[in-house]
Amino acid sequence: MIDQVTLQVIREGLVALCRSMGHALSRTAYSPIFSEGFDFSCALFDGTGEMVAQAEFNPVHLGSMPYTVEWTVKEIGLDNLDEGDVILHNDPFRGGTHLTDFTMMAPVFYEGRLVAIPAVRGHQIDVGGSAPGGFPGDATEIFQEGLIVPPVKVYRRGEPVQDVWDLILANIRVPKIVHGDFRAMFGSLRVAERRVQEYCRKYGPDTFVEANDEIKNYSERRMRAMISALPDGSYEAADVLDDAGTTLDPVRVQCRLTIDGDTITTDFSGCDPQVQGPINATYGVTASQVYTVLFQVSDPDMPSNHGAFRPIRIVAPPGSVVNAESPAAVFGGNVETSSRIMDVLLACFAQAVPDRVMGACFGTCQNFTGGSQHPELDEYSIIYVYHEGGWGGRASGDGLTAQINPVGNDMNQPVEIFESRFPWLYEEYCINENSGGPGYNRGGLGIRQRMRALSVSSSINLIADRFRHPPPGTGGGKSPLPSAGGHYNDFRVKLPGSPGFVHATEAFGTVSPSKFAGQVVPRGTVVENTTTGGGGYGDPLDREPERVASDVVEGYVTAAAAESEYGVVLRSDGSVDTEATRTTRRRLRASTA
Amino acid sequence: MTLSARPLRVGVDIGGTFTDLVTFDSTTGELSMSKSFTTPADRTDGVLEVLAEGGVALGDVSQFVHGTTTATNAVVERKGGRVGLISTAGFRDTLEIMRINRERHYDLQWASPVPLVPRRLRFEATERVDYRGRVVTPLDTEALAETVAEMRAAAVESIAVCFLFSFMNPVHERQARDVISHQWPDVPISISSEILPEIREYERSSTVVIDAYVKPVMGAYFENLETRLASGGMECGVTVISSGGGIVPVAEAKATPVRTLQSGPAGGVIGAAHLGAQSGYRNLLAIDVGGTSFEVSLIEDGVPSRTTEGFIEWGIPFKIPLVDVKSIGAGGGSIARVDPGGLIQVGPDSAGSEPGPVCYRKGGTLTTLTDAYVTIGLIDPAYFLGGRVQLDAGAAREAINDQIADPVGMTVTEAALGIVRVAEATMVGAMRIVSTQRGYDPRDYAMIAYGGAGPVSAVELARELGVGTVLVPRFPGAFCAFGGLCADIRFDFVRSYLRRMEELDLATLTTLSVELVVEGQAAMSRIGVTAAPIMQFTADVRYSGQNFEVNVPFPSGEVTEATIERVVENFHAEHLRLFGHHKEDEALEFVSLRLAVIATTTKPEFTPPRAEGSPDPKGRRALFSSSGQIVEAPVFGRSGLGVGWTRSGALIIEEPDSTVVVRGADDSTAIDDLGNIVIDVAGSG
Repeated sequence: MIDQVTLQVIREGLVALCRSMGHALSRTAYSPIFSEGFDFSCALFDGTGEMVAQAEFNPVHLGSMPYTVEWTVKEIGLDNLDEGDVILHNDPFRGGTHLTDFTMMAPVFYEGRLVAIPAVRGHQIDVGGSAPGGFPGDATEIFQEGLIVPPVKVYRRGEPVQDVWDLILANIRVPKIVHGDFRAMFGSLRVAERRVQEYCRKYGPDTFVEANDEIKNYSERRMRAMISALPDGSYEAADVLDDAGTTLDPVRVQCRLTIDGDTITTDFSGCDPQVQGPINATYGVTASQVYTVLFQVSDPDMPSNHGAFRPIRIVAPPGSVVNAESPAAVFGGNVETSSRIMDVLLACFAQAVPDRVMGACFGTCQNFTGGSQHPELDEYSIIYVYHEGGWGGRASGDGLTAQINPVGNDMNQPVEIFESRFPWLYEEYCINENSGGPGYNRGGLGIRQRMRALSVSSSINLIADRFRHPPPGTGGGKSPLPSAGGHYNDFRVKLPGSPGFVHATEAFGTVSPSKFAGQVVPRGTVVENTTTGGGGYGDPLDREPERVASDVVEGYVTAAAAESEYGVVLRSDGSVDTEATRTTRRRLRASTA
Repeated sequence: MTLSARPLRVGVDIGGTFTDLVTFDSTTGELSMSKSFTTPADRTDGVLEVLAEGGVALGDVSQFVHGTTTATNAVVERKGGRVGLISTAGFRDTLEIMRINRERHYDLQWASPVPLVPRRLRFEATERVDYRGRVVTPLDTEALAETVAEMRAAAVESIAVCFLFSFMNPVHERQARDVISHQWPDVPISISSEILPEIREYERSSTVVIDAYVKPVMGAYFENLETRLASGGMECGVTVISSGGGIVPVAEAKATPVRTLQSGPAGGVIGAAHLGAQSGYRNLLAIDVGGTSFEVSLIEDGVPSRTTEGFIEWGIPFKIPLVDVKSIGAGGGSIARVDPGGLIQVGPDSAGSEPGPVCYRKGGTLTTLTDAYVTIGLIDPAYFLGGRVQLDAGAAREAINDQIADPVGMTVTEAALGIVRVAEATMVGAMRIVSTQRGYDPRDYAMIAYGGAGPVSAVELARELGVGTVLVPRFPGAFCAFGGLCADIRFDFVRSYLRRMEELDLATLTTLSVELVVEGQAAMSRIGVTAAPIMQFTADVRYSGQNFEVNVPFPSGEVTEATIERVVENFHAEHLRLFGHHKEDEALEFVSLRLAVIATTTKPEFTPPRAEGSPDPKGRRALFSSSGQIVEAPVFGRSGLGVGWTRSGALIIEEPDSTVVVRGADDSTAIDDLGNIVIDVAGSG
């Protein structure tokens, strides 16, 4: 039996191995989504296809990676894997998320025995379909969303399967970039292969395999211990997505959380059926959110692997918006519905462990994509911009300002990198003032970006949410106020010659202000993406007046909001008028009581 | 910068706990070391104290080389100056938006770093330059003048300017500097196109802001130091180790203090490269282990690896030429615990030196790596820091028993061994990052170990990585101070020139290289170097469409088609080595041209120490060998071991500032001609 210290040494080594994969990937990638954004994940699976280690790159891949590999193993069969094979896969209905997320995996053999399957998942910049860069906000079925690649071998015994490569790349608008990124993914698998073989040489393949099993058992023990420490009970919460893009009806997401001893059940039976629009989540997406939130409220350092998931039961009815079936459109499920699933899970946990949650965050990834011919670089280019916003206030302090949605952990693309590659000029990239939800601990603030189109014509797409339904606060904290354009998160456009910014519904006649595809805008058009802040934590009328005054000096909160939301009255020099504040707070408390 | 006839060359390094001194007497060839405590309130006190401790007559000093963490501390503790930042209109929040990601994935209570400039002191200027360096909107100088008046009213102490694409065209930043200094001649100004003319606005803003932020603090510190040394009779000037591993006169350090970040660790690596080469080892892994961190660098053919990616703390980067030092939270003070799944974890948090390990008896209650060392006999509790500090071995055992051994069901000894093994595995991981992850095979390297805790674990780390030889220099606990005496004078310059390789204009490239040379010569003559310096060109290149570059040699001399061909060849070879794949038919992109200008200095030619005292073991101690057996190892005092001494098997060599532990029965240990301890590691590779 393997000793605990050797186990720990191997366990940490395998996580480091996954990080090395990511390092190699980010340094050799072509798309800024990989190299600047880190929108990828690296994990190691054992010889049975169960995950044993994962590096911390992108939480939304956390739970869905295992299903992808599991599905592949089931479909191709362990017996049909040979040394030198590489498998590619992006099908959301076979454990995937959305079509741009490709998973590449390779079996690793030691002395003829299958000992590991490293896998890397990355967001490719284009996957064909109706919208350049993906995210068609008006899709009603997956076939409009792009090319579906079921688990197929793209290398067979070390040789590229050229027919398959040709078929895939022929369906992609920017084959050179996507091919370069596939090469980078391939390189990262090679890194993993070498290290796994070193481990087998050093410890022997039997010990290595035993360590893999024990690592999973260890995570399971640790997860059960953490769950046991949570108060038993059953908690329920619901929230909505603004709309499905094709209609304006809100879409309900609901969860009942049951904590029972060292197990947890999350039951999503109260969710709406899947919809005719691109916001259906696959099971893998839903599972990712469950695992992520559990890590958030129990043990942020939980080693992520198959064992940690064993004590968790997920009930998600097939055909619902949280477990969609083909041919549902799913592009936004991974980025919008995922975020709402997280919101309701945190709202459930708020009833059990209020000091470990936060007010809801801005609740969207606001993915804005587009394609256009670059007037100077003479190439067709595709942009993919995800937007950060404010997170909710929490027990330890104010919410985070300008953070990527918690379903991901990507970096932004620097303005200078973006403009050097794509025909857009940023006019503004700043904090959205006054956008944090009032609370004893305020929600963090969102941002605003304005950029001008430089190409003769650009085709643009958007999938976003929480335009019309703001993020709630927690423990008496409040939702943010609407942004300047009238919505919470917001998208507006100013066409050349028009007097001001208007919503997509007005500019393009789209059904939804937050979801559309294929709108063509001329040179000189300015698009504006705005995000809201997070919900507040605790009663804003309890916030120390000095903290409110400081927020006003820094420009995070307006003097008017200080008075109306926090009941804090400031003198002209910015200092707190104590007497007026006391009176105002008394009046506001009376009016809400 | 020429060395006077006075005999004494002095290196002083200020670390977190100790201020170290190494002196080299050029008449006798004698090298000596002293230590005193660092004095955070006024760090010059500690410098003066250690000079007194070492008996240095300031009048005899011919060279004073200084490494210090003062700038880093000012940022970490947020005790820098009050900075006003001017950004392109629409972008003043770049510094706060950062890169929108977070350090801890799942931790909802995580706090992001506090920006060095609060929002109310972040100003904007109407101007815009595009990605090709063309002016889109001219700088509004009148509005800028009003902004400067506002900054003055806000009692700003230092100004940073960072405009978009200033690395492509610095015209607006230079105009802005002129406007500011015309209106307010005394205020220090840092502009990004001079500090870091490179793409990525957040990283460039962060770098120029750090420069402005530490400028008032570092200016005051250096002036105080100069005054006190001069009034003590020192006639030579102060020189400072730069992050890039060269030395510069203090005036340069005051003008661009961001270049002194990490100056201490850089000194150590330079010393390692020099000493290693003298001892016949040109490929080295250099490790420096102190109380809180484990630092590792790679030296290839006598030259330390370099990078431009530094971080003060997570999310606060500075991108300047750096000796590449990979640092992780693993040192003597690293805290050991049992996690909720029942496995032993060590670090990354540290008990530091305050309250320190349990065995220090200074209030620390959490088990640390040092406690484990003491428990299994790797460190003698009665001879820590040469007996300066008495360690409580009983308290260490008790902590390990209660916090580690009991919860996991091990004996105290097993638990202590486990802590050491887990910590060493973490260190090995960091060493893999700088070696295998970058395409270097550790088996082609020797290891040089310093820092108080470095020589304790070095031999086992070497065995794990397949490194055959470990070198422990003299004064391992003060090695960074020694390193400064080996440093050359060095400046680094860069010019961005973003073009696809086939569209490169040779004339433009020639002009850039000439500009760099002129700039380099000007810097050298500014500090009084008259001899022709060494000029080393390199280029940053990538596959067209990639976003990170690979730095490769760029042949000097006239720029021709052949030059470009060589650069292309160099790139493909380096990409293959670094990442395991390359594609020769893929188009390349040229990103920037770099120049290092180096004036070599005379290195200390020290004489090996004479053995003093007995070469016999002063005792024996039980320790756990590398195969897990208990062995009775002899304990030697280093001062008793002269050149030529050899011994095989497990042993311990103690000296006042460190302990060397050899755990293998088949390892063999010797003192080489320079007085280094050299260990032949058995069973490696």
